[in-house]
Amino acid sequence: MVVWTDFEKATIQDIFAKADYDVIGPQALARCLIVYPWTQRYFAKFGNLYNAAAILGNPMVAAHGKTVLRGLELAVKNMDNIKATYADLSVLHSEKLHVDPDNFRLLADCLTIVVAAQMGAGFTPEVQAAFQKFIAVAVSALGRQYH
Amino acid sequence: MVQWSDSERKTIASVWDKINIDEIGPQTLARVLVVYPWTQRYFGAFGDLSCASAIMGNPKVSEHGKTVLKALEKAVKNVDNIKTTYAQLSQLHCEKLNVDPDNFKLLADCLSIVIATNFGPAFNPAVQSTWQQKLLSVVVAALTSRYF
Repeated sequence: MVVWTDFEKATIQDIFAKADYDVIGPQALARCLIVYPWTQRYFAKFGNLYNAAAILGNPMVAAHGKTVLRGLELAVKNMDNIKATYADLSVLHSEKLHVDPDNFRLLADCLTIVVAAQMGAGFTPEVQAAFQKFIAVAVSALGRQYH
Repeated sequence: MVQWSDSERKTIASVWDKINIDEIGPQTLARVLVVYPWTQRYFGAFGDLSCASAIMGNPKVSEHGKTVLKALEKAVKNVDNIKTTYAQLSQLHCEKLNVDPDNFKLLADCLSIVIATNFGPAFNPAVQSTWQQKLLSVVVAALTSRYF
């Protein structure tokens, strides 16, 4: 089981308490689609993803970015039990959505960059370490029910 | 050979222009040692790395961070020829320093994060694409190219 120090727990709660989900979620997903363009294959129904401007302005991307971040909030609220919390989501991504689990890491990396850009100097090395640990656990839990 | 568009070349030059090697280098290396602590094994001779503040204040870490970033400048100024430019550095890291090449990616990731914290929204998706996804990937590949 993952062990969290008090600092790590406090840091994660703090980041997500201050994060504007309506901004961070859309930005992270848009970045993922722009920086790693093959990920667009999962969003064929989202309409115009033709270039960065289209992606950044696409309302379905924005809505889905918020959905993803709300999913991440589940992990924030259940840090001691992320694997169990994500069991259903993992099954969904594997069996229904057929998402290659490598993509979770790409989205996680983009989210890290968005949070870093927002927090600036506040995203210290220790905060980065806590955030990346949390994200790594979430990514691992999402891949856990794949077979 | 890697193809660079005019706009990618401009983006790389413009990001590099704004980078202060003496700040960004040390911050990046310190982050690697803090966030991925196993990398400290390569720096046994650096003295006190016992906690984040020790690492961030360590003058040898700072010096070496600048060294690494000065080496990155070679790639930035020779984007059409990164593999050849880094041939000797690659051999050095493999045969003499025995660095696991996975670590190059960790350093590249920390550099992107440092740039993001310093530039904020100016590190927009297009810049991130060119700089992180493309340039740093090419650099990491070039550094790995002489490993066998």
